[in-house]
Amino acid sequence: MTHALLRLNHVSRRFGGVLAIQDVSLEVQTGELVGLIGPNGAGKTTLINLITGVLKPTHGEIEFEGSKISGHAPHQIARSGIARTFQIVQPFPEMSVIENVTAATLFGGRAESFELARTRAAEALEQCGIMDLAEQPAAALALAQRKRLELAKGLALRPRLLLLDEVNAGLNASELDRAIVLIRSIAAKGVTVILTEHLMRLVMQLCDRIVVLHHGELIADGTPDAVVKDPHVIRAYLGSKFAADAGRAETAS
Amino acid sequence: MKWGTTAAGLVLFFAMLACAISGDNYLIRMATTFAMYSTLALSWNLIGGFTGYPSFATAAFFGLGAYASGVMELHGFSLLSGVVVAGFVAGFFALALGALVLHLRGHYFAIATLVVADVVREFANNAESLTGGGMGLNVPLRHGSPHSQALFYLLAMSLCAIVAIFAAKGVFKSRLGFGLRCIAQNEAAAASIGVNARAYKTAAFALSGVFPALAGAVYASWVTYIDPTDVFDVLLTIKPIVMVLIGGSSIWFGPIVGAFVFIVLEEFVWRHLLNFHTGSLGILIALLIVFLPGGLRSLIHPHNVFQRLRRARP
Amino acid sequence: MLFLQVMADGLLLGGLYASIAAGFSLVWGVLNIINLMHGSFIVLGAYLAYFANQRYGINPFLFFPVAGAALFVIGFVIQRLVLNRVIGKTVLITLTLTFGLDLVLSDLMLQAFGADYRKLVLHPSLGLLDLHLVVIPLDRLFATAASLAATCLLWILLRSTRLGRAIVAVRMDAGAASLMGVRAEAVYAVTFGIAAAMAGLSGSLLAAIFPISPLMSGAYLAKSFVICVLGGLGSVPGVIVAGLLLGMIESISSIVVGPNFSTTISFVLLLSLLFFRPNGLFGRRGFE
Repeated sequence: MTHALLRLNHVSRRFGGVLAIQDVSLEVQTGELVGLIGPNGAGKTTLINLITGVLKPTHGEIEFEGSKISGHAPHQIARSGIARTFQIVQPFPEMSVIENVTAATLFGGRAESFELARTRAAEALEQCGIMDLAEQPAAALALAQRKRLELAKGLALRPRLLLLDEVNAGLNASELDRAIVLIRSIAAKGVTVILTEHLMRLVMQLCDRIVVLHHGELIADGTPDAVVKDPHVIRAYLGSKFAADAGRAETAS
Repeated sequence: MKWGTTAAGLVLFFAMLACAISGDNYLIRMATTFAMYSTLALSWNLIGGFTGYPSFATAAFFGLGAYASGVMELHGFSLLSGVVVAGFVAGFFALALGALVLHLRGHYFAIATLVVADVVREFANNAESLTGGGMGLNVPLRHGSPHSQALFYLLAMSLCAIVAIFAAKGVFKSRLGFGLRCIAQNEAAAASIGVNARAYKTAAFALSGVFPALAGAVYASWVTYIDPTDVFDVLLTIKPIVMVLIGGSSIWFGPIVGAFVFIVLEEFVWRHLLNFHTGSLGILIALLIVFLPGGLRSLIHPHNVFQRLRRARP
Repeated sequence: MLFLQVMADGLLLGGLYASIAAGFSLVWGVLNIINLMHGSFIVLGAYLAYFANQRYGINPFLFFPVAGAALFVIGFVIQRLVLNRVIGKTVLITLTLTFGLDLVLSDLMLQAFGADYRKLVLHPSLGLLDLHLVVIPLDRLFATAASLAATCLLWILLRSTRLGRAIVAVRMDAGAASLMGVRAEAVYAVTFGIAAAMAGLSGSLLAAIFPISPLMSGAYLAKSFVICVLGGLGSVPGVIVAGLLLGMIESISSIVVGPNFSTTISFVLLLSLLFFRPNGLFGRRGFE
């Protein structure tokens, strides 16, 4: 039996008195496009931080491609094939766009030389459609462009798993459409994607599978249709009244 | 840019040569001081400028080097072996210290390094059997006339500076330098794209400690008498920082320019305000920081300085 | 009993330390500046009290508010004219600037007062409070009481007055505060003035007990560092507790290894704290 690409085994994370992530177990197979949703404060970013090594689990283990990665440093995980974007974009502001991505190809992407790194960086910029901005300082970019830069840096790591943390927040309608196309094309190339998202329509459009987090617990995991009708999910987002209504509607049909 | 730096380098070289052949011991001494501070500023810039970690430990490394070498020479070893030992002692000390403080940022890092310098000074003060304590250490005198000695130390200190130049330039152009710049601009992002921040910071910090120690070693031999307040003087930390602020931290040779400007200015202060020397130095530092926050580049665009002053009201 | 005496000495000393560090913590927390002049402000306050006593016979326990007022003006002016230009700038810039300014202040004091230690002698001497188990010098008791009173007053100011709320608001978020109509500039100047005032009045109280010299500024600065890191930034109760703690530690170590190592011991404590718990025992995370 082949390993799941990513496996979380009863992962918990405590901050002082608060249990931010409670006993989350999850398996993601290669090629999936998973949406990670949940109300604000549910722990989505914390989960991503746990996977990428920014935080260590208080309990439980995380495995990637069969080997344990929980407890590894972020840079090690970046070099092992997992890339992430940050919710609040984190460029290197004083460097040009292409330098930003070259850093990623050089260090995480393990390019053998500066020249090779730069060439690969240009490819990533092309893929994200911002090659024309290559020489601009990262600080001068508009938000949508910064998001693409963030994405390009992630791709530059040649990841097998890409974690997108609210990569679409703040984009307008046409930018969103372009973003969807881009994410689909990335997934089509064989990259497994987990994306956290607030916008339901995006998640419904893009993802074959949705995982729902609430107060750090996994409360639903399934196809978009199933999840949307799940009373636990509805209660989490809209309150018990709507959950009861949905439950009754389900029983009636 | 390349021709500019080569030209500037040549000018500097000839200026130093001119001091050397002038026969004026005073000029030679100034040139030696310039070489010393260039070394300190260049190496500080590795951790302070490139990496963005404001280290206040320079004096600690300098003093360690001075004592390591001084003690070696006292026991009959050559200056060269003293210098080498100084480098290793400081390097290991920097590695150990780095493991303790490099997880700190900003003010906390600055204070920690400042405090370490003080603790090391106290240690030197109290380890009397090794260092002579508060009564100081007498380093054996070299043979030769004052003039030939002066030339020798100018050469020795210039060698320290040249080594520091190679290191600074090398780091600047290397993968390490690129990584340090990433760390300086956004450490979390750097880690997320594969930069081993801890290893790189440690390397930069260790390097920033080695070269001041070499300079300290030469210094001990040069002045032949050292004591803790002298070689652990906090001004040995502050002046190189001001020099880098003047000359610019983002290019590897900025510190040399800053060192040159500062020493010339300080010379002016020395000559005219001897009584109030420390205070005048303080005024100099304050003026430089307030009016040249962007370093010398502000002078090239003077209108920016006034804009900045007007805009400085938050 | 030696143990009780050492504890009592430590508490008396520590209470005095609270007002020394409170101003330092305020500037660091609100302006995000580590004020390397702080030690010199304390020493200046001490000299003002000394000369007021020498020339005019004024008791330092009456004079200390005056010293506070004088230092308030000095601090306010320095902030308005110089420090205001570097608000929000990097650690390097602010630290080096206050260092430079301290060089000036120290040298001026050295020129004016000389390096010799001076001792303010109270006539008549206040004497001792003999409680059988412990003996408490009354001058220390008054100094500590005054110091704690001033610190508590500061705390009340921060919590209950409009000015205090403005200061706290600016500390938390200067941008948001200015959107609410708080003039950050004015707050910075007043805050720095208050901090200098605390330093000045502490210095006056110290002058009643200890010999003074410009060479002492470093030691007081060092203690302020340690107390702030121990107690956490932006927390007045934290400063008080940390001050008491430091006083105790110094009192004990003075018996164990002698009085010369007090600064070194506080530094080692500081380094250990920075390594293990940089946010101190109390404070919310201050600015870095």
